[in-house]
Amino acid sequence: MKDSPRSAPPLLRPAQIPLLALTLFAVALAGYLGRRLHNEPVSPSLFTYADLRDSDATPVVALLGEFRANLSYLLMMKTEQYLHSGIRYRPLTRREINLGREKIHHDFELPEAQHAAHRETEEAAVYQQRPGEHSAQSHDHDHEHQHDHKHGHSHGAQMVPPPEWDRRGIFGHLDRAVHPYEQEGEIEHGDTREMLPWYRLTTYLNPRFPKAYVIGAFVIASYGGKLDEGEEFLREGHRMNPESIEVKEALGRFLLHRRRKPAEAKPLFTQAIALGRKKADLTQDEIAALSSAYSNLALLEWKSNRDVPAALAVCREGLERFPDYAALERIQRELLALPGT
Amino acid sequence: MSGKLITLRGLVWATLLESIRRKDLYVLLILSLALMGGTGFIQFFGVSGLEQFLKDISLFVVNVCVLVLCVTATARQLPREIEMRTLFPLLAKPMSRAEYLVGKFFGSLLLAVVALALFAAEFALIAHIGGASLGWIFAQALYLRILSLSVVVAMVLCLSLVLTHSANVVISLMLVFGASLFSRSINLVYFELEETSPLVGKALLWVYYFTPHFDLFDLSEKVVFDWPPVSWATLGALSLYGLAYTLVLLVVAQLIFRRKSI
Repeated sequence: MKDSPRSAPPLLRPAQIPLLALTLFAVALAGYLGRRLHNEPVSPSLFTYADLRDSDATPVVALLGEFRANLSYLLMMKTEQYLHSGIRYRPLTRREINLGREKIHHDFELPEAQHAAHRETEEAAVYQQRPGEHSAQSHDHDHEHQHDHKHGHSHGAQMVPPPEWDRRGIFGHLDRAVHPYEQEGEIEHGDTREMLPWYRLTTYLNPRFPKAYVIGAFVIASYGGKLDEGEEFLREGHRMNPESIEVKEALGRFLLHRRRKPAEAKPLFTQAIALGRKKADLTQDEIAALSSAYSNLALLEWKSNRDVPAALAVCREGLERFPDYAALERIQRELLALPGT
Repeated sequence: MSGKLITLRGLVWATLLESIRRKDLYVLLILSLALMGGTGFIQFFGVSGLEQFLKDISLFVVNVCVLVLCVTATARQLPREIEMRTLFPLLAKPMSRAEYLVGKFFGSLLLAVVALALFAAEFALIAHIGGASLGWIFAQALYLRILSLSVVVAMVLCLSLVLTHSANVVISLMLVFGASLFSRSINLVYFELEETSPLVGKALLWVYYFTPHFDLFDLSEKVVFDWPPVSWATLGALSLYGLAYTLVLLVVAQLIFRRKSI
């Protein structure tokens, strides 16, 4: 007898199904127990590109380190999506920029927006105090270091294009109807508390990701209302990224404005500036952090330490490096207007 | 009930039972339950407020499982019947090839809808346990998903007449999962080519118009982020689009099947 009908073998035999479920459960349980038993952070030496190039890096470290670092960047993108109620963004192409297509710009009560909007009010509040005092109001606000977002925060373009950019006709309209898409000014931002797990996971996956610590700590402190956790998160970031200008500046700013601990904040600003001096090529985030370190150190010397000459020296050095930095210019102007200077 | 309808119903039922007997559905259900339930383990990392995360991951798992099951189950319908020669007694009933194709279409679609219903129930249960809310838009999402499944089933049936089983599965999955990327990128590519190669740009745009846009039937992101329901006009337009596309694909499949020597 030839070609007797035979059914194709199933994907799994019935007896294998409980085995599969058991294996998955065992893996999850092992992960949970492992986490419980090993609470120490993962060694920071696993995850930077430079680390991966070290001659003593094992293949496992190289492979897992790279994979986990990539995954952490994906998580940061996911965080961005969560922050904007599911809307996805993409960078603008060179031609789009040349044609004057502008980035999406938000002016909302968001972490990045809030810090930028509060920067000037905070500094103004600080100016009105007597030296050595910090206003209670000023301590309620922290500010991140994205100076390019003076009144909000900006992105590239939305992944779903607006009608004037869209050549797809009816399909474009349907795309905008079924996917999260922001018409001008209508966006409702997601609950920032929902983002906390993403920052936490991002840093678990890649402890050498300063931006995740900086923004995450801000969200934890401002929106989760947990100052202690926010500080601990930043301190963890500092332990993991001892050479990061951004984390040093953020922790210094946290200690200065939220904790009123200028003595602890000063060395952090000083170290951030020292790192900035040594580094020739700074990223945009590092430039923003460094300039903020100068202005905060100048304020600290002036208002907390009552050391006007030191504050002026910081301003001079900062303005040599960042001649267009308006906040520092203003501090210098105020300092020079003081009697006796 | 006319004889033809009874025959058709029998074929639909047989297709559904045959697929259920293969146990792929159970395996995927358990796997998806493990994945969705596994997201709950994240709370052990000391984080809370995971409703959106739970919905996001779970809906992703539901969509992937349903689409993979739908494509793989539909892709084996015709080749298997031909290979095992069970097609001949069916066609000798008498049953026309068109009726056979329609029976296979509805059988596969019914399987996909049953699977979707099970996965959706699983998702709703986990979302409920996780404290996540599911609004009216979730019902809309399920409706649009069923529409997209009808297009997927028709497309896979059509491709199964001209491609081998493996090629059919791979190409269909690429079209289903790559639709969103293609849809978004075509606009940008056209924009970039507008000046340098306008003809290529136009050609790409026409390719875009004629390829199925499965991404338009996916409301997952709006469900996850609690957006308000979409308008009736949008649902109507998508219903028309989905049904028209399904019909065209079935007609093309019938034209191919009619001339195909078995």
